[in-house]
Amino acid sequence: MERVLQVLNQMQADGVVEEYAIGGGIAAIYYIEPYDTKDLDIFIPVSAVAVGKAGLLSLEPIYSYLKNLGYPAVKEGVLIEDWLVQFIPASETTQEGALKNARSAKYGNTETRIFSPEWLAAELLRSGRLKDYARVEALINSGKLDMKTFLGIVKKHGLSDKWNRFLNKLEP
Amino acid sequence: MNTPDFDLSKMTVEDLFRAKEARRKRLADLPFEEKIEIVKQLQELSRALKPIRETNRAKRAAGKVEIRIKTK
Repeated sequence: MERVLQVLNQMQADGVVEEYAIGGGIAAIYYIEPYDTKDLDIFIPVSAVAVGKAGLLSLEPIYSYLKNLGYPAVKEGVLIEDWLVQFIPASETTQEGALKNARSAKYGNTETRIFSPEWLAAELLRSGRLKDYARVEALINSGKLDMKTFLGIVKKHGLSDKWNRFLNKLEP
Repeated sequence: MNTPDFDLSKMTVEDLFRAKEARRKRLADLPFEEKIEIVKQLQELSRALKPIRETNRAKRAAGKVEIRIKTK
């Protein structure tokens, strides 16, 4: 994992992307107990992959940069040191916010950025799958999430209905 | 990671839930690097189980599942 983060940091230093942050399952594991997850979700600004004025997105610059380093594209991502890394353009407002407000973290001696628990929970709530709801619950129960900040994000990003549905699912 | 010995016969359901919650909290408080090591072990386990799961899935799809009911 440390080598993967070093590759991503190098990619950023070389100007392929201006910033990145870890989201998804690995970000959740940073705060809660570990569970089986297959890939590493890396969120990047849409501007890094936008082509032309029509709003088309292409991950080609990232894929070719990594291919030159010997990391091939497989399935829906790139295999870097045994990790399937998925690059996700932050197209939803919660993803944009999560990327912008990502916090610094360290893995071994390597610096990285990772979604904060509040933004991660908001993005999982937006995503809305059952497993996402389970992680929202785990994040809340972890005590590492500031509820006031989280609920502020929920309200600001129009997730109140989803939040109410989530609460209804929790009721016995 | 040592787990204390539990006498299951003396445990209530509440004790089990408490123990499970304590384990969850202990795991959540591990350093990130240790958590990723656990994830890698879980990935390996999942890979090892994949052919068995696929065989079972194929059997279920074909309706070849044998259900044994123990009566005595």
